[in-house]
Amino acid sequence: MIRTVNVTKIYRGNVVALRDVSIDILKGEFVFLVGPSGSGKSTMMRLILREDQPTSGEIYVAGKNVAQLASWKVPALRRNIGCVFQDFKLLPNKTVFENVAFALEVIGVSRGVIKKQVPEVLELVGLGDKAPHLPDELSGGEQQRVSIARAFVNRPQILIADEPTGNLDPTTSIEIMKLLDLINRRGTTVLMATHDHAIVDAMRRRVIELDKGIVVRDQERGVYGYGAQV
Amino acid sequence: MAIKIDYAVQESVTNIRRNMFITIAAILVVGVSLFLGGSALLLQHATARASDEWTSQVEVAVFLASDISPDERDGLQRDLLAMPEVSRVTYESKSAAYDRFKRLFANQPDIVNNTSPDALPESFRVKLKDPHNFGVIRDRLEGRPGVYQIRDERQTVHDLFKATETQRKMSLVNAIVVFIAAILLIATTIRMALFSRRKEIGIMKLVGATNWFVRIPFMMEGIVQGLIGGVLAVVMLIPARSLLSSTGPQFAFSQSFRFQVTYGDILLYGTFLIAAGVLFGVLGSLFGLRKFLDV
Repeated sequence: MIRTVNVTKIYRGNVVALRDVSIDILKGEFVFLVGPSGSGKSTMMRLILREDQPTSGEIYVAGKNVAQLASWKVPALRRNIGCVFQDFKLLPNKTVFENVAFALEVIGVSRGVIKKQVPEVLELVGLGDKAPHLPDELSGGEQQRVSIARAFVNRPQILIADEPTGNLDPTTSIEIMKLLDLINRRGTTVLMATHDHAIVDAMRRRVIELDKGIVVRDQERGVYGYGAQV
Repeated sequence: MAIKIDYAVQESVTNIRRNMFITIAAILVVGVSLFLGGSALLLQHATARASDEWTSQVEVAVFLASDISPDERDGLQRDLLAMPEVSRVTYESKSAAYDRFKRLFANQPDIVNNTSPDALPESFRVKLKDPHNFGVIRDRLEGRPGVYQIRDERQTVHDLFKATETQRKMSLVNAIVVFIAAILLIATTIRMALFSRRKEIGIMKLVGATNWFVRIPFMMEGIVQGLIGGVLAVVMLIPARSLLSSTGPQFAFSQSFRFQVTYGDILLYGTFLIAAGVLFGVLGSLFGLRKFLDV
């Protein structure tokens, strides 16, 4: 589902963000991407979303080489990828319903479908009763669930989460992880960048560890533990 | 994917409201620039038309020497009529010339009173089939006894029109400078609108909105500004019409001479100006969106 072949990304000023990274994430997998700040996790995410292009190497997302994808095809790629961020990225002047509906509106989904799908996905994330509220009126965990609902509402093949629990307390984080796990069980491939030891250790899923832009570990049912094999 | 029109309209209205002042500034600058450019074009057009009208009426004047004998005069007239380039020859006697002179300088009686009817030369007024053949006629008649001077009146008119050319060129240069300012200002309003909504746009792009979906409301905003500016320019041109007409060259030597900017001209050029305003809007918004297009 996501495959990189010898991907290197060098930013201006010779800053190497990724060096010769080759990973292969299969359909339906749940993968943690771990590593200290500056290890290249975010760069990896950006490359998969085609927010940036690699200096060399190939990146296949859902079968397409995004490194060479024409820019007009990028929107189509992104419709296959749901995104969740540490800071939620919700629009403060739109209600919960409107925030989720927004993701469908901008890709031209009809109003009838929106009216059907948005309540469904809000129900799935456990916010069926919060539809008319503004993001400010919700807790951090609830806001993150709205953003997951938005990422998942058009049933993408891939869900990318960049530190989704970074701003949340441990209890809330577990709720969020349960939700991502649920989405994964429905067939969506999940790639999650995180710093959160407890979560990685508890989930026991595949762990890919980056350090200074190099893959230092790729382990099935792994734990966090910076480089230290367990 | 169909882009929803009501969405785009709603978005651009919101943007325009949010940046009211700079939007008004952009509209005014578009209006002023198109007004200046339009004035210059209208003057150009009216001048060209007046000049055409005039040169078609104007003739070659063959002034006769005061000592010409009647025989020489008749011979000259015959020869003129025999020339293939000539379409018509009229004789203007001294008294006819004086009548015309009195009429032209009717508002300056001093000049008329100080000129005796005898001071004005008699002449043949020659109408050419093709005015460009003036040189041929001149070469043939130059130095012939009894011919005092041969003058291409068309050239005189042309020279007079030339005098206004600098003025017209200046206003065109002005207009171009203000055109550029207008485009930059529209670009600025679009940038501001983009900036105030960059978070929203970022999300739109992440969830897979196409570039055109993101762009179109902003382009519509620029187009609306350009359109209103264009209409404004036309509205300003209507009262300026008579002013433009009077700044044109006014010549005393023909009553039939008309220098006028007509309502028809304004209609014609107004359509053009409004279209130019829309074009400014498109250019300005594309310019403003330029950096934002890719990601």
